Parts: sequence; C-alpha cells; structure tokens
Amino acid sequence: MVPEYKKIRLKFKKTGNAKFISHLDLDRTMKSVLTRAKVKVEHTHGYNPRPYLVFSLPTSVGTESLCEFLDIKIPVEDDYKDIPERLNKNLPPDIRVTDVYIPETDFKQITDAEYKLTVISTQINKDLADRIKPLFASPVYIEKRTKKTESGFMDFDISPYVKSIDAQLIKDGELEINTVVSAENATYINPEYIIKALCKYFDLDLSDPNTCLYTVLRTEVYKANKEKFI
Amino acid sequence: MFYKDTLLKQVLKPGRYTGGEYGQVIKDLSGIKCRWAFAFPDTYEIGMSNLGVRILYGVLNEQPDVYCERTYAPWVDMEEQLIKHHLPLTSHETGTPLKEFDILGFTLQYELCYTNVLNMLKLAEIPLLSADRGEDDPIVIGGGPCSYNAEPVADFFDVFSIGEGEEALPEFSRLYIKMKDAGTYSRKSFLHEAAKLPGFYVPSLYEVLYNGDGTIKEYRPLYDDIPKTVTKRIIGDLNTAYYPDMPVMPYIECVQDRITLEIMRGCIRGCRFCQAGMIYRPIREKDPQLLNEQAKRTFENTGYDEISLCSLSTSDYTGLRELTDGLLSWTDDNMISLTLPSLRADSFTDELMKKVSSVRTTTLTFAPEAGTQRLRDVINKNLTEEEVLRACKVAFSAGKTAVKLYFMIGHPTETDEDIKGISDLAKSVINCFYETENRPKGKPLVTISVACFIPKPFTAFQWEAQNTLDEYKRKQQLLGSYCNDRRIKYNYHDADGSLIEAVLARGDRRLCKVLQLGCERGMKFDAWSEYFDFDKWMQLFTDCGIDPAFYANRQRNDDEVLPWDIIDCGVNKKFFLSEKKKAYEAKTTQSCAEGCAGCGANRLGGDCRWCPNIKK
Repeated sequence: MVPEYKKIRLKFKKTGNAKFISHLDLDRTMKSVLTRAKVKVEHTHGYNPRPYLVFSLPTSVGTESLCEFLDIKIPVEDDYKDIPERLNKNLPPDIRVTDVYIPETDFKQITDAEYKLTVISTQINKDLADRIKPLFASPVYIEKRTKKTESGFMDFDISPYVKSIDAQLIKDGELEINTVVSAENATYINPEYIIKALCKYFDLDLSDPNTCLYTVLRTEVYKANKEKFI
Repeated sequence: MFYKDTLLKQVLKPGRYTGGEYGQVIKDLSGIKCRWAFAFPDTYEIGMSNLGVRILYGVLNEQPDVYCERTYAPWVDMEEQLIKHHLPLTSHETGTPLKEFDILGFTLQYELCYTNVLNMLKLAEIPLLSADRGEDDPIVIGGGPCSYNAEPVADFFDVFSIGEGEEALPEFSRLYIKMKDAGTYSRKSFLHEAAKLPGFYVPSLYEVLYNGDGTIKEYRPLYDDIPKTVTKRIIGDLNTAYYPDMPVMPYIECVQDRITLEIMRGCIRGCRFCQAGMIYRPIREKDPQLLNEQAKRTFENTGYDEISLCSLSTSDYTGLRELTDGLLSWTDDNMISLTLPSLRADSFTDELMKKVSSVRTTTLTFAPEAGTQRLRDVINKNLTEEEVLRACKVAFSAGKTAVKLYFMIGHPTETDEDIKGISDLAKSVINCFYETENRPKGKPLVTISVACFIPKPFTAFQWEAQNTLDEYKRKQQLLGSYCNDRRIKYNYHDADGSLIEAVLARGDRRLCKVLQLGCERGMKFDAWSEYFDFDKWMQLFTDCGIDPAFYANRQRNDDEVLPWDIIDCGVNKKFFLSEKKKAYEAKTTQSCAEGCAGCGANRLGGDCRWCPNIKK
C-alpha cells in the first residue's frame, strides 16, 4: 500500500551566524534536523532516496531573513501542530521555525520581497541619505555576472525592479533603508545589488571590518497586489 | 568597533569561520580554570571530519572546570584579511584570540601540515619557539600520529602527548589546575612536572648530541627525574572509553559528513611499511552490541544518513557479522547507508558485499600494495593474487564493473619485474571480469592508484633508503608504458611531495630551522597541491645547509641512534629488526589472529583477545 502524504508549510527565520549558510547547506541542515526531530517526511523514490524538501526564494549567503518557507510532505494521519517545537529543539539557535500550516498558495505566486538594509560607515551623513531615493528615479547600472558577454559581466539597470525605496539616517554614520524589490524568477533582484549601487554611485567603501558594516534582512514576501504571501 | 560580518563577507566560505553550530559546547567562563584551544592545522572541512578531535573535544569538555574550544587553519583568503586588518587568529566558540588560552593543542596528522602549525602560531601572535615564550603565552602541546617522531617541530612545541589522549589530556589539565591553585605554577615548573606524567614528552628537557657524521650520538635528559624514554599511553578498555555521540554538526559540508564508528584500535596484520599498524598496537576491539547502541544514539543525536565503520582493517574485526547484522536491523528502515572502508581482499565475501550494497553502494577498493607475490611477501601483506581475483569476482557478480586497486612503488628490494607485476595484476582482474559468469553488461574498468613509498618511524622499514626522485619518476614512466589497455586507468602520486614527507617523517631537530625559515617565507598548506612548491622546499634546505638525502635516501645502520628512539611505542626495536631481516628473505610473519609474533606491544596492557599473557 502506498502511504498518503499531505503538504505542510514551515515558516522560519534565519539570522545571526545562520545567514552565512548557503542554500545547499541549509537543505542539508534541514534534512538532518527533520531526522533528529523524528518528523517523518516523504522521500524521493529514486536510487538514492532523499527527503522531499522545497524551499521558497533562497536568500544569498550573508542575508538574514524573518520569512523563509519550507514545504514538506508528511503522512496524512500525522499531526503537525507540534512540529515547530520539535524542530526548534534540534535546530542551531540561529534558525527558528515560527509557524506551521497547510499552504493555500504556491511559491510561484511570489512577486516581491521586502528588505531592511543597514549601513554603518563614517562616510554616511544626511546628504548621502537624502540622495538615495532620487537615485533610483533614473537608471542605476550595476555590474552583473552573465554568460552572454565575453568578459562575463554586463551592465544591468536595476531601477525598474526596485519597487520602492526609503532611506533614513539613524544617526551620523548609520543608515537604514527599507525597500521592496522584485522577487519574480526572471527579474529577481538580490538586495546586495542595492548596496553595490550605493558603493558605486556614492563612492562608498564598506570593506574595513574595523569601521564598516552592512546588513541585509528580508522582512516580508508578497504576492500580486501587494498582498502578503503566506 | 569591530564587525565580524564585514570580515566574513570578504571570504569565499564564511561558514568555515562562523561557529555557532548545533552541538558546539558553550560554557560559563566564570567556573573555568583551564581553557584549551584545540587546533587542527588544516581547513575546517577537514578538521571537523576528524574523529580524534571529536573525541578529545568531548573528553576535555566533560570536565566541569575545563573548557575546550576549536580552531582551524584559516584559508588563504581569510589569512589575507586577518593580516590586512591586524586581527589575531581566534577560537570558534567564543572568538577569543588563541594567545589568551591556557593551553593550545595541535593535532599532527600528517607531516606536510607542519608549515600550517607554524603559520597558525604566527597568525595567533604567539612566539614560534618554545624557548621564546613567556609566562602569559599558552602552553603549546602536540599530539597525533606525527608526534611519534616530532623532532622536526620539537623547538616549536612545549610538550607532546604520545599515544591515546582520552585519559592523558584530562590528567594534563588537572596538573595545570592543581599547580595554578597551589600557586606553584610557572612554565618551567609545570613542564618539568608534566614530563613526569606517563606519555608526555617535553623536548626542551633533553639535550641531543651528534656524531661527526651527522648521526645522533645520544639523547641526554637534563634532569635525573626525567624519563630516558617516553612510553606511549593507551586506553585499556575501549568499551568504557568516551565515545562522541553528540558531535558538533557543521553547517557546511565537510569531508566526512557521517557517523564514524570506531570498531577497534590496532591491526592484527603486520605490514612492514605501515606505521599505523604498529603505533596503534596492541589490538583492542569494541563490543559489537555496545557499538550498535552507540551508533543508534549518535544517529538520533545527529540525523546523519551514513555510518562508516572505522578501523585499520575492518574485515579483521571478529564481531563484524554481529555488528553489521545489528546495524542493518534498523539502518535500512531509516534510510541510512553503511560503508565499510579498509576491507581486505582475502576476507571479502558475498555476504559482506550484500551488506555494503544495501540502500546505497560504494566504490570497491582493495590494496594489494605490490604487484608480485615475492614483493607482497617482502612487505608482509599476506595476500595472494587468487585472493584479490576472488574478491573482484564477488564484486563483479554483484553487478560492479569498476574496481580500484592501491599500490605503492619503491618498496625495499623492488625490481622492474615487480613494477610490471602491477600492470599484470590489473590485466588479470580484467580477465577475471570476463570469466565471471553472471557479470554485468559493459566493459570493466580497473583503476590502479600508485603511491610512492615513504619509510616511516616505528616500522620494519625505518632504516631503509627511499628511492631517489629520478628513480621514482623512471618507475612511474615504466609502469605507464605497461598500462597500455584502455580498461586500465593509471593514477600516480607526485614523487616530489613524497620526498619532503620522507625528510620530515624521519627528521631530527636540525630541521626545525628549515621549518622556521619556511614560516618566515610564508609557506603553508603544503598538503594542498596548489600550494605545495617543491622548489621552495629545496631552496630552504640549501639555505639552511641541510641535505635532504641524508634523511630520505640514506640507508641507516641497525645500531644507529634514531631520532624517535626517545619514544617507546610498545613494539620493540628487536621485533622491527627481525622483521627487516625477514623482509630481505621474503619471509612472511603470521597475523596476530594466527599466533603471537612477539612484537611486545602487549606489555602496555589493554583488553585484547589475541595477545597472550596480557595484563588484565
């Protein structure tokens, strides 16, 4: 008899050290965590059976997130309400499962993602903060990797895909940016592109660990009509 | 203000340096009297895979007033950042600079990691030479297989732990705490006391005198209460020894991402080139039922999907059937695969094959080590061609088309006939494929992987001259000319690295200046082919007035004082000499299972079914 499975969605956050885990490593981590927590999941039926995990919208290495989603399939008769608690006992402290439910949406429906960026540098002042929003009113070119050109790079205008951007000076030397960017497959914008653009257009250097820092935090994911994706 | 994130964003694999993994030990520092930093002088991915480190990390942290943290060699991109921003090397758990620890331990797994050890000391801003360290610097201790002849790095270490560390390192920590509490601690007095603990070698307490021809005259202890030789430590009963059933779970993928189940220590075989087979004696097995329980507990704690049985010769473990039956009763249901490395061809059976191939299969590798029966008898491999072919037949009839065979060239007494024998054996394996009735479809592939022999301390071949580079290159080409069949894939190791390894393996204290100069010249990661630079090494030897051939290519006399005579590994020198003599006569020695050959390791005690008259 073939066992029947139901799809459940786990919402989790990954912050702190966990932001440096690549997507592949997150996949490995989650697999072992599900095993440790004794959560039975459907496996692939090939020669090397693997647990069937589907993540939404992977973040790039270095990006923190409050809204990551993972879909798994568990036996229909299994209860799932206690899964977050069981997983959290077995997860490294910087990854926390915050919710579990039966999903009504599909990851393909995701259109945008919202981020909070923080930039710390002695070069930051009010003048610079005020120039950020106007910058994105006209084309903003960054260098992007591509297979299309010989050099392996191409200039890419990110401004059409930056849906909204607001910069706020917290104090001299510290800046906070809230932005919504495209997260659709073809036009996905890595929020680091915005940092890249700031460095390029305002001559910022954020490489000295003794004085500079920037952080990227995904705060929300949206589907069409700016509705929150759940 | 220092931002670690900014630093980590500049390197290729930040996951190597973050710490914070599931299972790492975090302690309240207020109750800690002895802080260890346990250093693995290679990358995080390699260090995290090491079972010994997992054991010692656990053993030390079991002590409530001891806190052991981990640290690894930073990759070159991270090193560049550390230097650029004037940052010292730190520990994983708390980010504490290494120079602030009480004890800094290095595990010495292979000779080519020595340059990394020195580079890590430099990056940690700790004086390289033991003699230059002050009261505030950590005690730098070394251990692991290379510590059996650590003379080439003797000047950089305050002390070495010889043998198994599960009991020795906690004792060492207790002595440290005791002397600190009593107010009697100073570097000098502590090292003097440590040298009196069994299994601890303090190189600065011995003076080395040399003969006119460059050989060693004698090791002279500076004090009367210091032992003349240091006897290695062993754990008598492995069943009661610590087993790391809750290892730290790395975020990033490591070399060995699986449960490593150590089933026994030591090896009943007496291969004459093999150091591990001698220094881990006497043979001690673990109870299969206990192993099964430990494996299950580790699985529940880690969620790993693979269990690897670890020993020097897995198929010689007497409880193998009971253990594999026990494991397979629950691993299949949990989709865990079982791997059995280090299988000997003569004990490879259909039954084992079925067990290995359940859930997932692994590549099958056998190690005949030499091409002809005569040479296999010289090295005491105790393996016949029939046995190799029978094992391959088992593999072929189980559906395999590819097998891998390990060989070494440069064994003592080797002739060109023996080199040809390697390709002949590979061809016999191909014929054997076609003779197998229920063979799979397709063509067979026999991969022969050929390494260069490196004479090692504490083996029957410790007195032997290594082949010169020219000789190795000639033999490699000769073998290549014989391997003219497309069903044979011929891989060979670079001989250059083998020469440097040979120099360091049997070197003495005069090599310390070579390594020190190498460190000044920025050498590191010599175990990585992209960083190993043979010409740089040769330049170092020239600049230091050292002739590498003196260490690598010189035949030693039987009565020469060897740099590692200061260490007693359990096996007698007399036994090695008689084994050397038998090698020249191409006479084999029985394995421990067939009868005691009198190596002498049983005087160290330990619970072993093979050794007669063992101390209980």
